[in-house]
Amino acid sequence: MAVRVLKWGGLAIAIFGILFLYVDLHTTRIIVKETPTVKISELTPMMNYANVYITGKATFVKFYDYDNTLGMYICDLDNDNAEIYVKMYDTETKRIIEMEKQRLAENSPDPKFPAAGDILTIRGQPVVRGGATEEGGFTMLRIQYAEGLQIVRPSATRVTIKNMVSNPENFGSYQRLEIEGKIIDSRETSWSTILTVYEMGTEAETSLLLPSVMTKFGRTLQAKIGDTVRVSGALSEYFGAPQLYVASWDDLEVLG
Amino acid sequence: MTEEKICPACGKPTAGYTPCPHCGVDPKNRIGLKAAAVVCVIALVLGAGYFAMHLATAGPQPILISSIDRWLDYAYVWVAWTVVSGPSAGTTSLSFDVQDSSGQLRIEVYDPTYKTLIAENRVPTVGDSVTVFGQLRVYLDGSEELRVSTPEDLLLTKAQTVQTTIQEIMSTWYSTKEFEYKRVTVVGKITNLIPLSSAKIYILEDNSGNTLELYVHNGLMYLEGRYLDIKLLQVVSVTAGVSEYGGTPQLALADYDDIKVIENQLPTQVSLDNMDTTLVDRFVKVSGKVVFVEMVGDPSSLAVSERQIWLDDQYTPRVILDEGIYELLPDNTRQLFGRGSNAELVGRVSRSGTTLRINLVGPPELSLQSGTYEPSLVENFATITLGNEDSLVKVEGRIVPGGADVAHVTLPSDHEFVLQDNFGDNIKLWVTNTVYERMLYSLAVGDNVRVVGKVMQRGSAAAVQPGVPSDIEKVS
Amino acid sequence: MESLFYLLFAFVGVLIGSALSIVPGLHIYSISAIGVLFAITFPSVDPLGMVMVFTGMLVAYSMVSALTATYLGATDDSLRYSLFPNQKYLMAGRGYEASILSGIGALGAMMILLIIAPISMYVFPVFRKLATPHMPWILIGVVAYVLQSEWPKDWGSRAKTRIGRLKDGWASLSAGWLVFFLSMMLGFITLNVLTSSLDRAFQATIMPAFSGFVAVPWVLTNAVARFKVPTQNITNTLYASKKDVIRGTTTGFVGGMFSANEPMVSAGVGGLLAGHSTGTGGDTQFMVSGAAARFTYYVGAFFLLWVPLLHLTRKGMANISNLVFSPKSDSEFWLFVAVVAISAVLSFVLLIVLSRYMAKIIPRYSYRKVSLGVLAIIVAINLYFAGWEGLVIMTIATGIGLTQVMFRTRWANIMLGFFFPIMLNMAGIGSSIVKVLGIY
Repeated sequence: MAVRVLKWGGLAIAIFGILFLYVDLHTTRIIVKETPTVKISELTPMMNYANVYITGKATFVKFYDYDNTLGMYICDLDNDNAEIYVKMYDTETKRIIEMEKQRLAENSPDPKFPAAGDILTIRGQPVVRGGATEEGGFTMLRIQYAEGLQIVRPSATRVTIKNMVSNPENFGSYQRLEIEGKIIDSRETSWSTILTVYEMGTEAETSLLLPSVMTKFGRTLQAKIGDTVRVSGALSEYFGAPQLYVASWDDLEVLG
Repeated sequence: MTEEKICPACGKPTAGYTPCPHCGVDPKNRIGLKAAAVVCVIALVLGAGYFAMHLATAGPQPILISSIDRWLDYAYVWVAWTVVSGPSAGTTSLSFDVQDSSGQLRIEVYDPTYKTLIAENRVPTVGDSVTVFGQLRVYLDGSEELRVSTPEDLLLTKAQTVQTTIQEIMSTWYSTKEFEYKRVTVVGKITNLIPLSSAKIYILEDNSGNTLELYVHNGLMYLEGRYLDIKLLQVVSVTAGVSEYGGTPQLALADYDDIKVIENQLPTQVSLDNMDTTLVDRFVKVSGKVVFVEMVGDPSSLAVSERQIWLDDQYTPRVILDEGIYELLPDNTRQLFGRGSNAELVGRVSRSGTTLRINLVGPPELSLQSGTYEPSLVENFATITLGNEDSLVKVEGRIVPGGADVAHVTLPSDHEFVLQDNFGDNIKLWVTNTVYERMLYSLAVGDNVRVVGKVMQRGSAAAVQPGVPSDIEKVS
Repeated sequence: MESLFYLLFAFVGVLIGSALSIVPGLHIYSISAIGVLFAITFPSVDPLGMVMVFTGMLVAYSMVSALTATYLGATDDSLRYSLFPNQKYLMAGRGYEASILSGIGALGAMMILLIIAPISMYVFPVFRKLATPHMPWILIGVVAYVLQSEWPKDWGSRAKTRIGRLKDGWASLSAGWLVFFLSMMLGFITLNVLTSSLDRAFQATIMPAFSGFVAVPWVLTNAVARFKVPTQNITNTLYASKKDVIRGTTTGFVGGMFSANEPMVSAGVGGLLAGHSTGTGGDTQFMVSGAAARFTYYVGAFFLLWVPLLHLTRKGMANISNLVFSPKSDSEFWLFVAVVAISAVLSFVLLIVLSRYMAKIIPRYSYRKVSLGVLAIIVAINLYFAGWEGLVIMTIATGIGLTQVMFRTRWANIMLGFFFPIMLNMAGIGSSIVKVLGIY
């Protein structure tokens, strides 16, 4: 009798238990918790391998060609010192590239591939050694699925190039700005294309950085030297010189 | 009758059967615990041997760079090398190149290790010896790098400094290379600055005219928290490592405090009218009114490569200003940079054929005050001939048909217009794409324009070439 | 000399590991996680010393925990492969012999590890480079093989009807697929969603599931089983052929090393694959290879972290200890190997001593009461580390584990199923499934 109880009782517990968990996931959330949101500075080693949400501003985004992974630095919106390295592995990185390609084709406004300046809400597994703001501490977040990456790309503030290069301190770090000018130079680096844009009338110039990963979004650079463009990008700097980090093709409009 | 035997394994009677009917054991197959004891003894001996190896190999065991191959991709290794270039610093990382007897390798240090090394003043510089532990990356294109994970993984031995001279370094460079990858202190005068996208190269010159490049990576400003402030013609003592670039020696500066100003030399004050060939290669201070500025374009883009400045008149030596130096000028100085300004500058005299030039080298010494200048209007274009080549003229006329643009494959065209004066005479107006693409408006047949420019030759005829977009004014 | 202190640390680890190994349901990774917390809280503790304690604990656990499996029936997945013969031996009064044979298997695996240590830094980086690009399909191939290679079990009597015989033939296989599916569904939840408080996540992500899959079902089945453990025969002679021992050891080592190197493959799966590929048969080979696979899986996986030029992080102990210490030098590697050798010998001695003790006292106690006591310990440990939510997860996992035991299908299906979501992620299709399930 006891054996039969274990046999059929075990099977029943297994099946109904799993069903219960999935019902709980979609309704009551008693056992299966809501994924908590944690500040980057509050991550501790006890949270290793949990599933958490963090929100922050991307300060560095790079697609690594050799292994098709995505690496980013995200800093806390309220605390620049709290920073975390976020990694997405190859299969999911390829997915978000395809998703970005598709959304550009559909002219959808919601970006799928992150860029510097974006506000990201990320769901992933933390790997914490020490703490986020401790000396010697290292924190990383692994994104398991592309669906765990939500991107809010702030709208760009229209400015003159002159104002941007003369007074970069007037703008926030990685603030998105929109400028207009004529392309006067173009050069390639190992992972990007740099365009120099000249502002008519003020003679001010600035650089635009177009990461090479943009070529995987189904388009190539259509603008050439001599074209007038309207561009949005995140204000960053290259050895003290302001430059705009372009996120995707819808940031660049050729005016003529 | 079968014997009553007891199974030695389970202790039950076997009734003489083999194997045991209860547990299936065949007593012939047996191993004593002694065998296990022998294994334990061997294990202890091996363990002691490995412990001895632990003691014998204490400390890093570096590998040779030449032994790195694709199989070592992602491997963690120790390497012990001499720093031969760098540091190149950014906001989140630092890199430098190292070399052992078999080759060179790039070392990358990322945050937070990078910031810790800065805080501990342990940033490697050329000439230092480093022992580094990190993860190797060997890429498909053959490039290699080692990534350092923690500050403890980088052991640094600072190089001893050797006093020497620029002449000694240069004279031994192509023979013994005595000073290669050594840390030296030399004295020299700052005589030029070559701005690059990620660094600046200062030229140090000794009294005999020997020169040596001083490489200052722009990222040092992140390490230092300030910009390097050294001036043209300052005599400085520099302590830096001697690296190599393009076969020539180069000092790699790692710390702004390694430059000490000994003396500020002054240029020779000369009036533009009194310049002669005795001044070639000397630094002069001149002043004059800017009467014309010509943008010279980069042939592969619309960028400006240099600006040629005419002071006072067309006969004085032209001042040549590299665009990289121009971009170093403060904003308010650049805004004053135009026709009519009164300029005072320091430059180095050079000769191109029989023509003298003043090269406005960096770090730039230039001051400008606003002013005006308008050349006289030439009403009759017939008076402008090839005999006036290189003269400054001002013309006014109407654009008529007959111009022939010069198309380029990847760049906008250069434009040739034909201007007609009130007498019906024509002259060509040649506007380079560098200037034209910077104009706020385009030109077309029928436009009346006023142009200040230099006379140059187009085909077999004279033409007027404006220097900057503001040299062309659309009158109607 | 400082290095001798590291041996002392390891000795302490062996003692702790041996003592904790006989506490049923307690997994070595749980203890190590506590050790990491200790190290983080008291940073003045020498990190290398701390890791030497972990090494001693791991070696001891790999060897001495055979006692709980043999005498108490509480196991982790790595022991399930060899458990059935251990239990047979116990009921035949040869429990002591079974545990020592298991120890010899582990000792043999340790010797092989010692012998290959000097060439490991040249050979393993090559293996890693060759295997890494093919990881996803290798893992999916393993899953496919394990699922497909199961055979119908003999229920003891032949059904009289065709339908009945068909049912008998497919019962185990169907149960195998079912437990694979159920554990996969559980894996999708526990590996992607929080099922405990956030500050317990480090401990609670996997421990309740593993306790439920393996330890609790076995204890429950022991509790309801009506048997009395007979008097155990303690002998200095082991009735097994040398050929069986050597073959079992080498087979187990190969299987253990495969599972140590491959993510998400447990010792049991590695042992199964190795056993099938080498035609392992007989109780002795089973027990010895299982123990060798287990030792190689745990210690070999940690070994990969120490190999110079490799420093591969595989399995729990490497992940846990990496939080406090990362080995770098050849010298540290040789120290580790020396510690493994000495710890293994010490652990074997302790195994003999403890096995003699347990062989004497176990028959005196009611197996049912012992099992219920073990169950109480497992529940208490999970409640402490994972909270009441962990107990719910453990209960559900117990259902899956009981299904596996009672329908006589393979435990490997549970392990592979639980980690199958990760394999699907590596193959790039996990995301579609989590979206359908509503997890993301």
